[in-house]
Order: sequence, then structure tokens, then C-alpha cells
Amino acid sequence: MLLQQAVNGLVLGSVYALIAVGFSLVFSVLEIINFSHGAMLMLGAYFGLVMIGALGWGFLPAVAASALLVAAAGAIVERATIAPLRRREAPRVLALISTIGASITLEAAAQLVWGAQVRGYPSPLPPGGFTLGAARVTYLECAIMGIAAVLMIGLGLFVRLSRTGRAIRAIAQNLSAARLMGIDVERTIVTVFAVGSAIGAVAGMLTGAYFSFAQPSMGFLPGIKGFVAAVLGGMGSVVGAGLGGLLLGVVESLGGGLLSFEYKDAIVFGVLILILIVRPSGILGYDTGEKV
Amino acid sequence: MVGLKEASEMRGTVMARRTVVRGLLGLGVAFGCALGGAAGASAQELVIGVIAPLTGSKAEQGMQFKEGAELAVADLNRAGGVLGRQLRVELLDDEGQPKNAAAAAQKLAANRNVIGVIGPSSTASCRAALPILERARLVTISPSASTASLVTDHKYMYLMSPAIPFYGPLVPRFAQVELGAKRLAIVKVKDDWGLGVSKATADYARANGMTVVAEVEYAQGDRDFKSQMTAVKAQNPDVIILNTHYTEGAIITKQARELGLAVPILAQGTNVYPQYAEIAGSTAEGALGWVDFLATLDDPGVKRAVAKFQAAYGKPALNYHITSYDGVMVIADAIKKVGNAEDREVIARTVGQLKDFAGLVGKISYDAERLPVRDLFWTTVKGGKWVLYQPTKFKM
Repeated sequence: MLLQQAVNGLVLGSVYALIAVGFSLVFSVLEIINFSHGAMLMLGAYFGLVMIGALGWGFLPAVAASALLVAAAGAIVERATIAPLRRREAPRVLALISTIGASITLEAAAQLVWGAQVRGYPSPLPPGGFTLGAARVTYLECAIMGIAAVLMIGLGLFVRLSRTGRAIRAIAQNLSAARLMGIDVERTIVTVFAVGSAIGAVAGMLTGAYFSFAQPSMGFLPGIKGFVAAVLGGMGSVVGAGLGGLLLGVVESLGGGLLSFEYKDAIVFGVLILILIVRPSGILGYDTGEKV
Repeated sequence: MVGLKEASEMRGTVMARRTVVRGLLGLGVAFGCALGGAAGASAQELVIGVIAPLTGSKAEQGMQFKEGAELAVADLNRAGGVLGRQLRVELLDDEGQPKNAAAAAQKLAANRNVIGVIGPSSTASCRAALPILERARLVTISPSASTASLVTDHKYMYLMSPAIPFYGPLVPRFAQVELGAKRLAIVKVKDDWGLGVSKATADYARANGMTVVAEVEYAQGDRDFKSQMTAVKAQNPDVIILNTHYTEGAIITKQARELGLAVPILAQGTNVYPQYAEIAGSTAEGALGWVDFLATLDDPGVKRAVAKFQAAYGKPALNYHITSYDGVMVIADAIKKVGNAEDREVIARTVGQLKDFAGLVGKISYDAERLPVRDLFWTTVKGGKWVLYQPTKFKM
């Protein structure tokens, strides 16, 4: 039972990690929390649903197409709701509120287009699985962990090795200095939103397939959990987001199973508070001090 | 004792006043009758008040109240009305909000021609409207509320949807008799309803020699139940009882099956919706549950009801179409039995004496607690759809 709970936690955790990295990337360049990220999850899930259901596509092509569409949506949200505020040098909290507005708008739009009711979600794989010691693992769970791992590693390499990745890290260290060094800051920020949203879209489709439903409000709770995972791992760090996500999933699963389901969320947030007391910037976050 | 004495004195005064009022009313009626020829039939029309959420997030439900009640009134009028008088529906929108339900109740209470009320929709709206309707001594039947305490608290209130004291023990009894289960696992949503129905489930089980080996709960909106189902699996139950709503119920079913939990799943009526089978997919197959109405069931009563609503509105009937229609018919039946539409207290009491009334789909009675006893269907998921299930050992 302990092993099973741990496996459950790892699956959940890898989805949380994918969501967390979206929060983390945006935070690293803009130091704002992008609350529209949960809505990107939902959009990704619905786009995927349309492609699989109405257009008859396979799961993988649908994931790719949905990620592209949601990347565009993420870029548009940035251009429409955050960039204008940044140009006017409005306080950061306004940008944060702006993302909340974008999230509510997108959710309402989805409700208008697809209706408020819960829709079933197709599973990309047959329902079977295998037994691992005392735990049962389904093929879908393996696929989820695999896809999450590949994406996280890919993203880590992208940030570490590519030109854009270097630009992202430069902006994270100091936006003004990066601009003075000739880095196209605006383009990099849009890229960050696009990439974060695309990964969110994949997370959305995996969430949809794992829980087998889609609903306009489906992005909200996973969004919160992903945000917590990002804080836990250390805002601004890809590896931190991965660790934070896995840790959150396992703590939630084991805490619920061993102690009490009633207080599952209380346990999760208790752990969060404890870790933040010991390490205020998260597990892998580093304190850069106030930028002047 | 002093309190009692005071109360009885007060009652005396009220009674005296009522007699005076009745006398005046009588005069008024006599006067009205004298003018009756000129005033026409509309003065004689009986009014059924309908308090329903016609706008807002529960508008779909309100529409069912409206259509069900209007169809019943049309049917009654076509058959010559009640006591020779035609009926009319007065429709009031409460937007699903208690304060609007109270305002609607005020309006109905002020109208002397109102003979009964269909609605309000939720327990909270009922609680707001009932004191007002009760003062006007209007019999009230909610098509959708199912909280038994509404009935115990208000003597003019009746329910149409099955209440927990009725169906709560049904599920564990079915588990024991039909499935031979001894070890029950209960999954419950953590809200008033979930806790209430789970208590009824567990109480019946313990009193009848079964053990509740696992009782796990979740918060409405949760999507991951694997840790709960892992704990359930470790207890090795004979059956899993779902005291859940259909979205969570379906996801729980799927995750339980994925964990290799192969025991029968027995669901409350809140799960018996097409969406349950859609979301749970192939893992829903074989799930069992009861339901009071589902348009797709292969039952003559259901088919008749579906055809009736199809003919009237061009769409299949839903649950509250049926309960709203039946509510009007039950009030009309009581008035016919009483023989006049004015004696409101007797009408309300007569509704409570209903036995084996032929409702649109099945029989309806009210028990000693004035709670509805309805014919229910047992269903099972087969080929992705809820279909009728014929119990071999279990009897209602």
C-alpha cells in the first residue's frame, strides 16, 4: 500500500511538475505569478479533445497541435494583458491581477463555446497495466511519467544550452542589463509565455486523459497545485519545478493515505509552510536579493 | 406551564380572529358569487404557483419545473379541470436564490386563488419560502429538494424526490441481499448530503450484520482519488458504495479499476446519469445503481412519459419534468378528495395520506413521516449505458 501510494504520488507529481515549470519560467523573467496558466491547461485539454473527438486525430498529433495553438494563446495573453502594463511601467501587482482577469475571461469563453458540463476524455492507451511489487501501474501512468520526464529534461536543456535559453537566464538575472546587452527582451518574454503555455497544454491533455474528463474549470485546482510546486521547488528553476512537483505529489498521496484524507490538503500546505520557513526561496531557489 | 397557558390563550385569540376572518371571507365569497356571472370563469380559476430558478445557473432545472407543471395543468384542464374549475400556472422566477424564493412566496401567499405551490428548487430556497407559504397554509411540493428535515420542520411541505431515510438503507440492503456482501467500503463526498447518506448506509449495515471496512471521503471538486482507493483496496471489501456525484463517482470508478479493485460498485442515484458512463468509459461496465427516472430506460412507464414530453415540447423528459408533473397531479388529487379548494389545511393533510398514487412513471405514496415512497429502478451499466437491472433476490 505504501508503494502504491508512492506510485500514485509520482504520477500526480509529474503532472504538477509540468504545470509548475510554466509558472516558474514566467516568474524567472517577469517576477510575476501568471495566474492565467491554469486556463492554458484547460484550453490545451479542450483543443486536444476537439482534435481527437471531432477531427479523429491520434493522441500524439493532437498533443502537438494543441501545444502549438496554446503557445499562440499564451503569447497573445502576454501581448494583450501584460506587455501594455510593462510598457507603462505599472506596478507588478497590476500585471498579476491582469493575468487573473485573463484566466476568468478564457474560462468564460470556454464555457460559452463548449458548455459548462463535464465532458468525458478519451484515453490514448488501452486501460491495462502491470503489477510492480505490491503496486499496480497502468500504461497511461507510465506514459504520463515518460512524457513529463522527456519534456522536463528537454526544457532544462533548452534553458541551459540554446540562445533563447541564455537570453532567458540573462533576463532573469537582470532585465535592464540584459536589454542593454542587446538582448531582444520583448521577444524573449513572448517566447517564455509561448513555451510555458505549450507545456501547460500538454499537462492539460495529460490531466484530461488521466482523470478522463474536461470541464471549463478544470485548470483551477491543478493550477494552484502547480503554483505551490513551483514555490516549493524554488521559483525560477526548472529542476526545482520538477523536484517541487514530485515532492508535492508524493507528500499529498502518502499524507492522504497514511494520515488522513480529510486533511490531505492541510498536510500538503503544512509541508509547504515548513519548507518555506527553513528555506524561504524554495528547495533550489537562490536568493538574488532585491534588484535595484 | 405558564408558557403553555399563554400559548393556549394566544391560540384562542387567533382562533377568534380566524373565525371573524372566515366570516368576512364567506361574505366576500357570497358577494363574489352574486357578481360571478359578470366576472366570468377567470374568477373561479384555481392557481398552481410555481417557484423555480428560470434564470441563472440552475435555469435548466427551472425549465423542467415549468414545463412539467404546465403540462400537468393542461392535462387536467383538458379533462374538465378540478371540481369543475380550470387551473392556471403562476410562474415565479427565484433565480435559485433563497431571498427571491421568499419574495415569490409572499406573492403567492397574497393571492387567494392559489391552491398549492410547486417548488422551490433547493433546500435553502425551501427554508426561506416555507415559513411564508405555511402562514398562508399552502401545500408545497418541491420537485427536487430531498432533505427530510424540511418535511419534519414544515407540515405543509412535501418532497417528490426520494429522501435519505428512504433510499439510504436501500443500497446496503441491496448489497447484502443481492450481492451477498459482508464487508462494505463507502466513498463519500464531504458535504451535508454525503455525510447524511453515508451515516444512513453505515447505520443500516451495522444493524444488519455487515461491517464497514473502509469509509473514505473527498472534497467536492477533487480529481485524484487514488490514495483513497488504495486504502480501500487494502481493506479487501466485497463491494464499494459510491455516495458521490456522477463526475467524481465516475473518476473514482475508473481509478479503482486501474488499481485492480475488481469488486462490484454500487452507486446512489446521483451517479446514474449518462455522463457517469461516458467519463468512466469501459471501467463503468457492471456498475449498479438505483434511479427514479432516466429517459433511456426500457420501461413502459418511462417510455410513456418520454413520449408525452416529446410530443409536448419536442425533447425527452428529465427527472424534474416528472416530479413537477406529478406534484401538480398530487395536489389536484387531494383537492378532488377534499371536495373543495378552500380548506387548505385539510388539503395539505390529505396529500400526506397519499397511497399508491399512479404517477407518470411509477407509484407514489407518503409514509408515516410524510416522506415520499416511490417506485425506483435498479440499473447497471452495459455497453456504455445505464440499462434496467433485474434483481434476482432483492425485493423493494
